[in-house]
Amino acid sequence: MLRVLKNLFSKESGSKTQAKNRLQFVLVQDRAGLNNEELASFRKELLNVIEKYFIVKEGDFGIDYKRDGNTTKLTIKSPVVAKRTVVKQDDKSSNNSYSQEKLEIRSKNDSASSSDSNKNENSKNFKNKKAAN
Amino acid sequence: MSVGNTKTTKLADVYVVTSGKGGVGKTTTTASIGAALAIKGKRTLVVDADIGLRNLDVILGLESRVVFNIVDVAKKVCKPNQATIKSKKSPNLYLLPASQTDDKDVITEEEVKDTLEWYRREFDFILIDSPAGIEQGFKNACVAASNALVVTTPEISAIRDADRVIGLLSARSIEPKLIVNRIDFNMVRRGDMLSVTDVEDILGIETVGIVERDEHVIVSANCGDPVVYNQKSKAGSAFMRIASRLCGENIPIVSKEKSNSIFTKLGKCLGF
Ligand SMILES: Nc1ncnc2c1ncn2[C@@H]1O[C@H](COP(=O)(O)OP(=O)(O)O)[C@@H](O)[C@H]1O
Ligand SMILES: [Mg+2]
Repeated sequence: MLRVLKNLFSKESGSKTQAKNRLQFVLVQDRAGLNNEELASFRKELLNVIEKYFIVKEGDFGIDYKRDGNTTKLTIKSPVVAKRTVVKQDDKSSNNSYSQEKLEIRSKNDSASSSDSNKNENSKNFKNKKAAN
Repeated sequence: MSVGNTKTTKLADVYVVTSGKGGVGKTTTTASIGAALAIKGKRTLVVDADIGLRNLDVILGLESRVVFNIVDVAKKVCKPNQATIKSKKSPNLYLLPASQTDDKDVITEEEVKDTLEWYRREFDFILIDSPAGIEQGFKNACVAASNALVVTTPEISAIRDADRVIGLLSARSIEPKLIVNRIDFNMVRRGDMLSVTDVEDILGIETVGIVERDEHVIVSANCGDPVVYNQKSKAGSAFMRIASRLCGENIPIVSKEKSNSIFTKLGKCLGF
């Protein structure tokens, strides 16, 4: 009931929120020239680095690639909950479990990889591509 | 073509009206702002750069008077002053039509630039109606411009294409201004359409005008009579205000998207 009420009252209930989120996602790719996989691995690697030092509020982690006058600004929005007391070891096997989860949701939405093995493939491809450039 | 007394020695400001996506209102915008500038006493040339899909002539009600076109001028088939058509409604408004039979790449960017240079001495404003897309036709429309009006509707595909075009214009050192066309404030208020603030936020360029979805646009197109002559219409007065801003007048942009509905107020009170 409360939700129905809230939907009635809230501006954010309409389809425009979806439009805005989808646009922001697609424009980062358009502007930066990254494809789905590249953006997903960029996001994942960034999160890994940040999470080594900070505990972040993951749902709000965002990447924005925006024009600002005649320069282009890459903005990483990462609300920090706390600094880690011990710097997290850079260990692939003990990857933060919920960062994986989040990435998976993104990937699924964008019909990219959904299985873990697949994802490793993708990040490898990305590295190879970069090396080739 | 007689040179009016009002024309100063300054060369015309050249604007390209563009969008990437088709059907968002480029031609409507070019015709309306062109007519509005003419009403304000500015000598204005509107150029149809949509070669092969000529439309500006019918929107302005001048289709029966087209003899020569921009391709004829570029290829020196006729003199520049032979191709322009004076509006029936205003002695300050002229149209340089597109060719309907040629292909988009029959003229080069160099030819367009040379062609328009002559007109710059004759007018205060030149508005170029760009074709949809980002290929040769778009490039031809941009080459002579140092200003741009990017038209978009508050829809996802139009905004994405506008973003692309803004990038291409920036690469040409043109800082475009935004026109949000065909907005429906009822939809904005109920959260089913992006607001002007949303669009600005996403595209990151300055807005020069907001035009509501308005039936008068279609009626005036039917009659070949620019909507600005109906100043009681919302779209007509919106285009008039944009023209004033292009003339340097400081007219604040007011958007009616702030919701005043009792529900929102109640919602805010309840802390939603
Ligand atoms: N503000 C508006 N309100 C209602 N209809 C509009 C508005 N702006 C444009 N239109 C209509 O949208 C259609 C496309 O407009 P047009 O100017 O031809 O777009 P473009 O030149 O970008 O292809 C036309 O039918 C036009 O009448
Ligand atoms: Mg058009």
